[in-house]
Amino acid sequence: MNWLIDNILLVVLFLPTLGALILLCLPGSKSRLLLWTALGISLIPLAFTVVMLLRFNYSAEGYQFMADYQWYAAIQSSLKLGVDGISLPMVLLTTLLTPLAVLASFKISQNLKAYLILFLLLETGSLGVFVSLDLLMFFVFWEVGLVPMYFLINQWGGENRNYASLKFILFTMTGSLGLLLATQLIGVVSGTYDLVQVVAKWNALDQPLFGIPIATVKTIAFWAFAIAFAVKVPIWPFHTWLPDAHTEAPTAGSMILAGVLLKLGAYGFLRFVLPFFPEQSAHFAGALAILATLAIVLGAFGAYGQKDFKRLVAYSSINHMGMVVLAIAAAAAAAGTPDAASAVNGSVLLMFSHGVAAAGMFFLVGVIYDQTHTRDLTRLGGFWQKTPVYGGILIFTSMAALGLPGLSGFVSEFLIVSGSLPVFTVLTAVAMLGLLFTGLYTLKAIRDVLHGPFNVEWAGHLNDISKRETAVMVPLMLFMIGLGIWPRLLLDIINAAVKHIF
Amino acid sequence: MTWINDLPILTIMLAVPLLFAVAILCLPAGSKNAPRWLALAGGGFLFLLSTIVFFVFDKSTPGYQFVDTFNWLPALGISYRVGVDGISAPMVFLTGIVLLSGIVVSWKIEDRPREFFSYILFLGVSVAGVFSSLDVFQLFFFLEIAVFPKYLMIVMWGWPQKKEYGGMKLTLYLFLGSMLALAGILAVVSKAGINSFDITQLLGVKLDVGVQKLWFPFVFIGFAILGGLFPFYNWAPDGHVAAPTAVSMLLAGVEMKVGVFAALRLGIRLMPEGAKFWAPLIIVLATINIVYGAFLALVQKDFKYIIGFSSVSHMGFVLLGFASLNADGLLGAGMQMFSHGVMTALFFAIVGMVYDRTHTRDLEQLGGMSRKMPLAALGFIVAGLVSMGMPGFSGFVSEFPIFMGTWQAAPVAAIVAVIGVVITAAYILRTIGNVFFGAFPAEKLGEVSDIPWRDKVIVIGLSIILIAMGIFPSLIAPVIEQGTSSVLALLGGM
Amino acid sequence: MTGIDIMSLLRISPLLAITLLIFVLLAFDLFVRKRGTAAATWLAAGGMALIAVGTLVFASRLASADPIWGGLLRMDMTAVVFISLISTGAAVTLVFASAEPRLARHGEFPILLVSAALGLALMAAAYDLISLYIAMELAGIPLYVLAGFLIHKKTSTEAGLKYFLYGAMSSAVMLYGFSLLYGFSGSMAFPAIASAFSGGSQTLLLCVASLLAVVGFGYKIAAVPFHFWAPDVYEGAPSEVSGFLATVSKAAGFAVLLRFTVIILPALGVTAQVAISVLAVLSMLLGNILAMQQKNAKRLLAYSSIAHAGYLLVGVAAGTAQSASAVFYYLTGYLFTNLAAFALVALAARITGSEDIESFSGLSRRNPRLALMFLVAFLSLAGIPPFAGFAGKLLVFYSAAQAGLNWLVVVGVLNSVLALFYYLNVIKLIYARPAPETQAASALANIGGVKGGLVLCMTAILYFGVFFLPWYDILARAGMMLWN
Repeated sequence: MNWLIDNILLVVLFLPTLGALILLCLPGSKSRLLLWTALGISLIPLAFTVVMLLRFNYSAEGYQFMADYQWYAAIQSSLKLGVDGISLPMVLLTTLLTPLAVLASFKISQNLKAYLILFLLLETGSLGVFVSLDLLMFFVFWEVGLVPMYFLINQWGGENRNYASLKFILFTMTGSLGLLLATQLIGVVSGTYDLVQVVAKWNALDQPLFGIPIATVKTIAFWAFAIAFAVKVPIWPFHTWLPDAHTEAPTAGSMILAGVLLKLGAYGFLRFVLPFFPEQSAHFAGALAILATLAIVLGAFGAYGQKDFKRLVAYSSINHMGMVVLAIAAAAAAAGTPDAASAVNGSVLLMFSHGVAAAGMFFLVGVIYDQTHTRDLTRLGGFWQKTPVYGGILIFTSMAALGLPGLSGFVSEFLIVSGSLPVFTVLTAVAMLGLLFTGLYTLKAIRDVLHGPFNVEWAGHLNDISKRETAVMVPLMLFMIGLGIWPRLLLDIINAAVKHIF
Repeated sequence: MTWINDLPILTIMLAVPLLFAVAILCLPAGSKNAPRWLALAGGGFLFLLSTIVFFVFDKSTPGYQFVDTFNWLPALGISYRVGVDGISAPMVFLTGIVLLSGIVVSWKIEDRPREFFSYILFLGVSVAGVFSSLDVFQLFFFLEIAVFPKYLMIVMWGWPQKKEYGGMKLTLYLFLGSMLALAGILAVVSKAGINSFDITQLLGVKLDVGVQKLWFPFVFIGFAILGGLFPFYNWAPDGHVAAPTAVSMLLAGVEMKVGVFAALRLGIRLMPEGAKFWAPLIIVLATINIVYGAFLALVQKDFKYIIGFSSVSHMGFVLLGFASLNADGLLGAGMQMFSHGVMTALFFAIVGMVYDRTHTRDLEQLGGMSRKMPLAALGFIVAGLVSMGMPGFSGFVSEFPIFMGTWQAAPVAAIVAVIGVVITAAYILRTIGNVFFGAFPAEKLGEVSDIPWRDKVIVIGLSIILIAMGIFPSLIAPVIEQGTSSVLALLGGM
Repeated sequence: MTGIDIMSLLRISPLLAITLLIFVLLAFDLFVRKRGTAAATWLAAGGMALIAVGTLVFASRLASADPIWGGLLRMDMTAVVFISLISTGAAVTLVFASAEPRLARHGEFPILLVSAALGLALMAAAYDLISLYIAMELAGIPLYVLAGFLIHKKTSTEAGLKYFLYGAMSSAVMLYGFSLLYGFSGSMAFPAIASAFSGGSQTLLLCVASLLAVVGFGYKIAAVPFHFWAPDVYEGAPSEVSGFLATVSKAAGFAVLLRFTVIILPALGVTAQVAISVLAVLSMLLGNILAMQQKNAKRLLAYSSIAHAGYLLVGVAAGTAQSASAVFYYLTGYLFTNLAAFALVALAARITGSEDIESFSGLSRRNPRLALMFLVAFLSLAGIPPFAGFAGKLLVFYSAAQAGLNWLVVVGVLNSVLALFYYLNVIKLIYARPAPETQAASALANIGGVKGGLVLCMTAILYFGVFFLPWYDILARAGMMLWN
């Protein structure tokens, strides 16, 4: 038992991989067995995450549950793990969404075994990003997550999946190139990849490097990191991969993609960009803020114009993640002030909240699609009469996404605005206008699906939401309302880290 | 396990397959099964012993291990001397892996199996011999023994359209490279003035700097031609495409490594000052290899040509690592030699499996092969991910230190080389998509069977090695470090 | 009569033995031999083999650096080694010839061959201008006849005549050179000539004289630009004789050349080295480039021999005891290799009915053992391990590097690449091509001896490729003695 607690992060990180190996040995034809095994295995990390939450030390500075394992000593890189208040909620998000994604996949018929294995591997990849305290390990897990998602889109996706998956992987990998080069550079210059040591050594550098002034080198490295994360978040104009990828991915894939993967980018900003490059972040915060605002506004407009329900939700992700980045930019510009703390608190909380809400939205789109095989908003309509439970859940979730007070979205957005407004007043104001449009498209979507005349095409084919599908939504909804009413559920943890770092 | 150190294990490892090779030739003409099984025994034996050598290797002791010596021509200081250090032990292991894999995937050769299986053993022994040689004369002896199996195997069992042209081009080019290196080495050995061809003794001699600067290019570039250094890489695509599957595996998998290995052992180690002088040029050429090779792979329409050019590109990484002349670069180069060797063997094996069944390698004609041979598709994907440098696989843990080393030596080269990584991703993904996914054009390809179980074993085995090395680089990195530390001492001490 | 001491007689016992063999053969031919069998040839072969072994075993103990017989001869280790090689070569040639009725049927054939061998052996031991000239003529005249032995074949007659004319002319030029040497040094003996010129005096004269003398030697070894006779003669002459010319005769020529360099190199120094290097480069280049274009197998081997003369000249140019030993080693391997090559070509020509290389296509399927031997011989010619050609070439190049002739080594290795091309070409035809349908396989008769000879050659090629000792130690002694 002691060993489990001492190595809890290792267990959480690699249990999904172990699960994948177990699945590999099971016969591919027994779908029920595979699904329940996968579900069971993916619940264990969740349990351990809860243990960590309960044992979390709110007053300690720095990282907790730390562990260090030998990996590649020859180049001074090791598997160093640890969480703080910023990453633990992310871990919770990941370990929560994965079982739900498995639960959502009970209707997959083709190649179920490979599908589930990929999800589990994806979980390890995402978790690795959040818990790594070694720069190289971070990069490894960052890239490792790409391949399962590529195949999930490519093999189980919609009609345009080849294009979407290729675009996804090429975009992200190209974006990561700069990250790769900068990681190499930092490793070489600092002589280690340990996050804590790198922050100290890298910030202490003041001599010219390769004959170039250190400020220039740092600026280039900053942009290298920033662009890689910007592609992932995504920030306008690096967002063009997202609508296709989200739309073509299978339902559970979109859940993880929007719920977890986008957060990797934002997390990268918080964990690496701001601590490594404080001056450059402050210097370029304005640019980032502008791009974020564009993402908010244009994302909203984009969502409003969609006829495809799933694509609409995809654009909504751009819209919401824009808020996250706006907050980060504000935190960068105003480092050390309470505004920065507010902004970061809000942005992390929004990351969690959006993760939950977006996953829920995508799932709900999937529920409809499974029955009607269309996502065309013009063909849907009037479902309220036939599927009242579904309708209720849909409204609830979209309100959470929208930021209705009492639900999780509101608290996070409030914190972000309160933190950013003093720093980027104009932009925040524009962003709030964007929020208006958020409401518009959300309501439009609800109207198109639930209200209006019932399209007789679906008469007799439409069942209400099933028990299993409800089981997927219930945990999400609990979080949405729980965080809305009592944000301290997570805010305390988040703030425990934020107050020290920012 | 010190009793193992007392056995002349390397000599046995080389002699037994050699005897088997000769024995196979003595079988009656027309024997079909005996050559296969004998070759399997010989190759398996080499694999087994090379595994022992690799895993028993003591990482903490510097210098050479498993050394056997025998006086050959004392009057001129020529001796038979074998031994391995941290860089050559993994290479010997690699030879065992690739040779065994090559024999298994060629199991069904129908035309003159006796000659085929005999020659392939000769080729394997030659390569393993070079890696184990601690005497310059002996190194060349083993190196050139490979000439006739290389050539004959290509012209006798290769791709009919290109076999004569490809075989002659490959053999002559490689011979040219080794001959240039020979001229350089003879000059160096005679200038060393100790009347000995023993590498361990030659390492202790400090040669005049002018001599080093003059002869280093002969030795290094001569050997690097065997590794496909730009602009002397043209033999590789044609030669590898023309060769039968197992020969491509061996040539790209280990023979190319022989070249760069000799370039390191006889070039850099014997002439460190010369190496430092010429390193910038090598860095430029190696970077061109990486980027241009990848670009050439991108525009190919023939499945096998893509892999051929991909080898040229990846060998550029090895050479870049060597030319950086620092700890990280050398480590990465050593890792890359092993990783690329296994990866390219896997690639060519699967290409062969596809071609044997569909009789085409045209990307536009192929498609949907993952439905017909799912495990082969998976293996190709694994190899592809290695090639792309995806973390979690051996390519990443090899290329990353090379980049680190390049940053220290020539930062611009690191930035340029990363373009190669992108292009690699593009052509790999395109190839996978074109060949393995999509619709299966049944009207063009007809009936296609899955691969037999023995091929599956090879695919799984090679894939496991690639994944294991990617996840646990420390399985092999400390061994390589033992070898590179002595090189670094030479470079630093100057 | 002043006492002919036993020692001197014993020292030249190999030469005496060969002479005795000639008389025995004459007697055998006159009285004992049945018409139309190869008995005489076999007898000669046996005799030469015995002499080869005996020389090595017994005469080597008596070898000394002192000139004997009034300074005419020097039976040092060099001479012993060469006589042994020459006898071996002659024996193998005779064994091969025993399968060729047009040669073996005639009792004159072995007699002529052994006579040539005697002359060649004398060449190796000659230490005086007169004895050298006599030896060269003694070697040459039977060889002219042997080249033209197949009197019903036009090319053979042409070969004989060409060989004779060339030989006569180069002899004349060489003799003129000799006369200059004698004129200015006042002596015929090599040591005396060497010391006469050693003071650095009369360098120009020495140059001219040497050049003239080298014409004769160069003709013997078929080096460029004295090679023009070789392709036609090798092609036209009976294959066995060509083999003998290409190996044994060449070997003797090199022995002479080496002795000559001992005289002139100290005096002329770098000039001589450069001149010999130029000859080497020309021979290698021309030999290889022209060999690439040949369609006839024997012509190809002819040009290949010219190229090999070039490689050997690299060793000669180096001018050290070590390089001399290297040249000897090379010649040893080359002897067996080239003899085997010519025999194989002859055999293949009998099977396919043509000497064209193209006709050898697909030979590996019809006769895999023969093809394997082709592979071994040609790879050895190309200088590929584990065969003797590799060892010899490497030793020669190494000795040149030791002597500082690195650029020459570079040219040499590049030429090896050129050469590999045409050797592999033949191998490719044999192994990779299908046999032309129009060919009828003809039966081979009487080839027991050839098989045996080939096996011996193959064994030697492999042996000398892998085991240097103890032969190299003997050669090292020879090399040392040559220069002292």
